[in-house]
Amino acid sequence: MIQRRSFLQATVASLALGSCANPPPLIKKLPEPSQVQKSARRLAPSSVGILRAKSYADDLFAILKENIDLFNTADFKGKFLILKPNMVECPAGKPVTTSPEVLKAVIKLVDYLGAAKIAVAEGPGHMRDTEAILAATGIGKACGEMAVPFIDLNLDDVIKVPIKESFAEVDHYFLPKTILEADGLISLPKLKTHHWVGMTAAMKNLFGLVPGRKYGYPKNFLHFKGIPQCILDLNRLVQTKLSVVDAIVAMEGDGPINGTPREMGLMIVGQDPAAVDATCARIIGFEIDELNYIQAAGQVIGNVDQSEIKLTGVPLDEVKTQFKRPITYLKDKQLSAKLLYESERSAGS
Amino acid sequence: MVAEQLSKTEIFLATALSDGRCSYSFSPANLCMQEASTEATAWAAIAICHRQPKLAKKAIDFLIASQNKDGGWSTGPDLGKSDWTSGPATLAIRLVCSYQKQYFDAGQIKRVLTDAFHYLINSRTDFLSPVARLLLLLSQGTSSLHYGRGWPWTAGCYNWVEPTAYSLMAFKLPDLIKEDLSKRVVYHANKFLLEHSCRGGGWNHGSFYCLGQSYPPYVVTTAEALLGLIDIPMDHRVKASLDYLSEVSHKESSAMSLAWTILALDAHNYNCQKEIDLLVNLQNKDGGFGMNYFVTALSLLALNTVNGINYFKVVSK
Repeated sequence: MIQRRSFLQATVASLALGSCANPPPLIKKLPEPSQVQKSARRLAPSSVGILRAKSYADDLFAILKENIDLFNTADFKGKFLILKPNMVECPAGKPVTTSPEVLKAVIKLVDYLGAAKIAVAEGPGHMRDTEAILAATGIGKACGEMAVPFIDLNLDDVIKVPIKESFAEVDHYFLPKTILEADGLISLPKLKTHHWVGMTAAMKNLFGLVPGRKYGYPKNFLHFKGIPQCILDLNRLVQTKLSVVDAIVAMEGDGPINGTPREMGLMIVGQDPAAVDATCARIIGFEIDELNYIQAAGQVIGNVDQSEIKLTGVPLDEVKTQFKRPITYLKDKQLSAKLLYESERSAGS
Repeated sequence: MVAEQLSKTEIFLATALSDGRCSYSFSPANLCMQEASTEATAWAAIAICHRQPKLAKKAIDFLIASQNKDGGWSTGPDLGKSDWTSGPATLAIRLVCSYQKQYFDAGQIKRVLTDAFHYLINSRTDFLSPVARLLLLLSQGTSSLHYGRGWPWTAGCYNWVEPTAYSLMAFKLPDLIKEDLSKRVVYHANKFLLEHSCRGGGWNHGSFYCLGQSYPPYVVTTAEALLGLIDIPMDHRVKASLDYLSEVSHKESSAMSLAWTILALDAHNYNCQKEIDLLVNLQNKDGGFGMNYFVTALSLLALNTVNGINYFKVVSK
């Protein structure tokens, strides 16, 4: 009798928590893009460079300069440009953030291409202490060496920016005034696997534009509205002029924070962030249809079909590999579900 | 030595607050950043209220004027719906008006705070629907309804460590609110923080465990959570977190980390002379600290502990 009562209590409690709780979907299904959403897509083809850089000690500026055809010089000359590295947080020994050497090389490049004003800007996603992250990542030192100011986008003045037909079903985002007043944005992400969206590179890097002073640390609002949806919205609102992906040492496994280093010796460069991300995905062993936001970006942001991307530099087949995936993105979906279940069961133990 | 530094910082902050509002950043590189910040103004008002009560009153008047109809605050005036900055704003009004009573209309402050606490109580996210709660009540009894609940950064999202710590401070300082509902809210928020401490002590932003992996604590969030839990110093998770913080504190190189650390350790009766010395060395030439007025205000509060002033300590006495 006691066992039966306990069983009933446990069943009702499970029902309560399972059926009637309202947990937010981190990954919502993306709808088919509308004509309005498709209207600003970049025309094909897009050029992407897969550039060899064996280590951070290489002359990265020289490597970028040798590939000058990848850049539209009109986007740089006389312009105020913001360089946006990934500084989400800084756990010791993990390749989470963009290397200061890549940042310095791009500062030199942008200067070389005639920019009138350059600033480095980022709104770290998990930590309020930007000064500590700047110190731990070496990005603060790099800004000092290059005499380029750093702007904490989390605390910048903000502007309410309306958005039509948002994927996340919002009617506006608050965005930093600095980003909106600059002539262009350059995305400098770290190539990493990502346990909620598979991979993070040029387009997902724009999450760091969203100001913590409004949305917090982490910017949980973006998770609630759907990570893929918000990636697409942000890339519609802020068009990057150039992306330089730091894949010299990338991250595989349980990214974007807790993965392991993977030496790739590459920088992936291009003006179209969708094409850059699609190329990164192919390099690390994803099919585009496994990554819904990149697939959708092919209709909304730019070009993701291989036929629409003109590759230069190292041949894709030469660098293609298979990154260790997060347990949420295993090719074997059943194994993925089993490991996910086991990891949740051991929570807090 | 510290007296000189204190005075310099106070003058610097007072200048920024001269019209009763404070922006976040003083970065000369940025042409923007002139917008009033609810949070920076709130911390600046607390930091300056001991020595410059009239200026603190101006800041509180600004906060009162920018309170939203729902009782909360946005990151700045007319910047969307109420958000997490409601915690620091409520805390500032409670503290400043408590220590400088003579400058304020008690009736007005009571109304403002009633609305503010109404907002705070109702802005917590509960993922259990009324039906779920009823089923829990029937199956597990009343104790099952006392699950951990903190505060989100923005309405409707998950609860996280920092907004919970800020709002808890507002409920607890300068003294615990005695009313029953508030006591329950505090109990649930304490529980939330304790349940979200990292393995081995300390807190990060609130994700201590994900997909089979434990995540490490951060300094700032640990210090903030310890201040939020100032009334339960004997809990073993609080003790473990104090151990963690005191162990890493002298390794910190940023003004924000040091300032929060000093405030938390001092509030829990630790000697912080070493951390004070480190912080003093980080003062900018103009008297400010770090990259913005928010960090400067925190640093001023931290430096004031050498004079025995720590507003976060009172409740523990």
